[in-house]
Amino acid sequence: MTSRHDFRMRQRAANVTRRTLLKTGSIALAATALPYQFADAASVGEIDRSPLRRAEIPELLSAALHAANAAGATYADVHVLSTRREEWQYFVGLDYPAPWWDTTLGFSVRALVKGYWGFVGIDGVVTADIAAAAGRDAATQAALAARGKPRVAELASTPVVTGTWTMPVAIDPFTVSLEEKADVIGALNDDIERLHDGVGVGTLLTLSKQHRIFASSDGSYTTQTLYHTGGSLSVTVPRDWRSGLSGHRSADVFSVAGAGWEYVQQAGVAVRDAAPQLIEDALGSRRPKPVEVGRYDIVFDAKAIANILGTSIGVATELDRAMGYEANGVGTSYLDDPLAMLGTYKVGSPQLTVTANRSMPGCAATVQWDDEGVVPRETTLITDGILTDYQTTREAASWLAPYYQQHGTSVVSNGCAGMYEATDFMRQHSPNLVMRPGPHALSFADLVKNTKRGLAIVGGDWFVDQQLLNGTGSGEIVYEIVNGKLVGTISGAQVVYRSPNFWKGLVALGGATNAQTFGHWRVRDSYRGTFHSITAVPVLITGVAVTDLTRQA
Amino acid sequence: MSSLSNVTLSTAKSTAVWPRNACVPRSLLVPSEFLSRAECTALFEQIVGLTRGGGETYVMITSAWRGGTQWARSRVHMASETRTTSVAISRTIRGAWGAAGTTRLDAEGLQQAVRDAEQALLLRREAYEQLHDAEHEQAHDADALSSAPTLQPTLWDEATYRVSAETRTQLAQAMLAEADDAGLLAFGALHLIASGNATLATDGLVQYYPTTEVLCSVTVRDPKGIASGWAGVNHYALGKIDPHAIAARALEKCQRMYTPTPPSAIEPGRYTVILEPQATADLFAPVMNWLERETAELPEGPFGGRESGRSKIGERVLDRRLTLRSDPMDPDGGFLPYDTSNGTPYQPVTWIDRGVLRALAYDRRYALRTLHRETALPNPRAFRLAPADGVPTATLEELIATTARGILVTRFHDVRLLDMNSLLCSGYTRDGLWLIEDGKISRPLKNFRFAESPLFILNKVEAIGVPQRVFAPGRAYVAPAVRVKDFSFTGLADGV
Repeated sequence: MTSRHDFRMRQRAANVTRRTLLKTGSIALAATALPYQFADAASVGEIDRSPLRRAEIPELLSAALHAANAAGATYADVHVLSTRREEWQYFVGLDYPAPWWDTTLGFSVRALVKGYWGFVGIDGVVTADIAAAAGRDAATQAALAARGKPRVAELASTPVVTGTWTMPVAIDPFTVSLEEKADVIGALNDDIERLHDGVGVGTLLTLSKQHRIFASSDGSYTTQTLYHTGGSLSVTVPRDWRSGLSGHRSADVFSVAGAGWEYVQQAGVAVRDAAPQLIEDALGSRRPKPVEVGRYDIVFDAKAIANILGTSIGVATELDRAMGYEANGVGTSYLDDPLAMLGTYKVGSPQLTVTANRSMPGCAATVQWDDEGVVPRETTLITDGILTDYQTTREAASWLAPYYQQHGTSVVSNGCAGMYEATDFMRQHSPNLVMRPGPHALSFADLVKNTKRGLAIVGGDWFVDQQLLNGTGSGEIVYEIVNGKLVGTISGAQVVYRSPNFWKGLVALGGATNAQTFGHWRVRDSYRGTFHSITAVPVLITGVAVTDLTRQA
Repeated sequence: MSSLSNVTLSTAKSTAVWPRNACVPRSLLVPSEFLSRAECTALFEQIVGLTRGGGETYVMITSAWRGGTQWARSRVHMASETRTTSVAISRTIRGAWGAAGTTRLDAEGLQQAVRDAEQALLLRREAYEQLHDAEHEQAHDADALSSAPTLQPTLWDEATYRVSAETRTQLAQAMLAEADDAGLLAFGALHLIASGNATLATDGLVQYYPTTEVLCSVTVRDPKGIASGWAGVNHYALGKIDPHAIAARALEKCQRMYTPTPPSAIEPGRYTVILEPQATADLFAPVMNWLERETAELPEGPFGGRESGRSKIGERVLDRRLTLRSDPMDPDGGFLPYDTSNGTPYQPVTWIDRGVLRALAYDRRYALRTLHRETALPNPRAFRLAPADGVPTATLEELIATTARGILVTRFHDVRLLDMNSLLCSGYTRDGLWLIEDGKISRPLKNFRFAESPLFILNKVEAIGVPQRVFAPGRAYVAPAVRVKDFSFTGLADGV
């Protein structure tokens, strides 16, 4: 018979100290010579707001790994993820900005048995017994799956790593008072709204601090503290008296970054400086002329092309997706024959080179180690238009072994393993993507000036089909270019593209000084996702099909 | 090769570490897979005990156990079990409110979440006191809320809950076997979920409902990547679905997509189409977001009237042979019987009756102020789109056989709204598209991009099929196959 008392007892049990564990019968566990003797608690690193006392964490990790091994796992890893999120919204109609917090804590174990993976994830606080049970069950799950036909899972080698890393930020956003945050956000909105009658500003700000603990049966043990700061700010202007249309413009400088509160301070200054132009852009977009369907040379600003690049190349080079591991969910990739395509498949123009990293300061996917303990390496996904690598994990890297060996490259993971929360089993984490800029110091305005007739697109929303092959989208604002000048805005313009054909039309890129970095939320399914950054420059792409957004057949 | 017929859904001894419970709290030190009513109540009391300053406390608890088996390239690549628990706490004092969430159920975690909510509350000016008027109080009258009946649909299946990890894995192996033996690649997922969700408040609100859910979907592709077939469904009970049939259907669709000929392209344009139930539901789902009376009376959206304060209630919006209902007690389309965000019970409602819009959702404040009624009409976003009583239906085979020329659509991908007033949507076809000629499927087709409104094409339907449950994780959608004319395909989209 159970009762509320039992519930409370369980909660107290979850918070037991080491001494209590010994008293309640975990003596056997504590006394066993565990194969995983992790470093003293002093090296664990601080975990804010976590009930897990420093001394307990190595014991949890050891218990889980020991149990997984004992149950037949040839490899296992453990994660403890603790995240603190703070979200602010402020828009017309709200009297005052105020935050909403979300705190998560989770524990998970992944086990490999005969080429099959098992996974157990638990929200909340765990004890050593629970950790051991999770390890045992993860291996059991894998062993059950292994009763099927044989499957091979080779993990590319990686050095054993231990250590602690904290993402360098100037100001931990969680040390800033709520009053200061409310004042900053409120003042920003109010100041911009005062610039023009009828202007409305909507601001969303998300602050995140995450502690990630990882340990593996190989002996790796790392702790990391990551920050993600960013959001969005958009300006809306009233309806035009003649056209009846309102105008809208988003600020480019607020998207999520691997940064602290200093990012908000800097972005706030940048947005204030840009606000008059944002309002003018929004006002000027209210009397567009209808689109004429056809093919155009289009100048895309950095934000628009970053969005397109993120899916048509970024997602398309996720090796697990390319191999079909998302086929039953969000889809596959047109780059679906890696060993045949690497080194030969023409993704785009020779001017297109895209690299991937997880080390760029201030970027949203930057880490010291990925979620398999791999130090990510920078890799070139597209070299002069040719597909030359994919985003990989330890297992996925082994799928490309023939290619790497042929090119004298070591078979190692690119460091793209990741999970959003502890209860989210390991998948690929999008790295930071960088589009190589052009050799000349060309700006968006320069590209427009060099275009006799075409369109210029800023920002916007972009979508692709299940294979990332066919895409559509429209800019936040679309301008008409005539003789190198922006002569007015266009309504209803929908860009229709086919990924390789689109990128083959790339004829000019902006220069390095015009590169901008944007944070993106890479969603895998309806709610799980990870942050990463895309650095891009304005580009000119020729021969792009443009249709009427709302026109039917 | 294991056969699904050899897999029995018995209460065999579980190989998982944690023995199953039957909504009963578990023993010391062994955590619940999900929270029972008693545990949720105790948790709520614990949270209330941590609050300071009076006012009201509102708590939404979501806890779930999920056992999943996923396969790709004809091999199970992940077998998992997760236990997720989250608590959302809202505090209100004199109209000012603050909220916070946590996945930590330990005392320290709960205390922190309560403090977070109260800190946010303090930041809000008491300008919100203007809300503390008779209307506000009436809108949150506990007596009125608690007196509204909560229906009791059957959403829990003990047999589903007791499916062991071993059985689940055997099912998955059986589901991929046939495609593997045929030299094709099988992909899929089988998830079994048991949840205990509660909404409680200090004004007397108490709602708790345990549910089970099965998510079963299969994709089969040929190794060259030129064909893909899919089938899937979700339901509260494993016994309500046929995993073997789902796997077989996905396999058949894939095979028909490349034999005897691979998919070919035809010109985009307007075509007569047969939408399978999944495709109908994919396209129709956005309509549910606009069944909101206040929005319609702005007027805004597809159900907005000709002037402010008016909606299209009483006007025909769909084909006269179609009816749209939401009913928690629907035997195929049942759903959680209350709005988890505020505890308001869902009642059966006919939104559209024989094509005529009869109802739009509203909250309690609107009900009191505008309609002078006590109770809200919340929108569960679950639906049954069905032929009206007495309207003849046809099987999918009959729909095909009576089509001179048309296109058969399995489902849509990435349906997005282009225009809120017409509900014009765009997206792509996916996982099975065929040309029908002279009553027969003649050849597979490459996919299309479309621009179409569910309200346009369902305004005049040629024929209607038998409604059936479709795949909508976390939701209950029941929709029929329909044959409609002049469906707008705007371009080729040759992704597979």
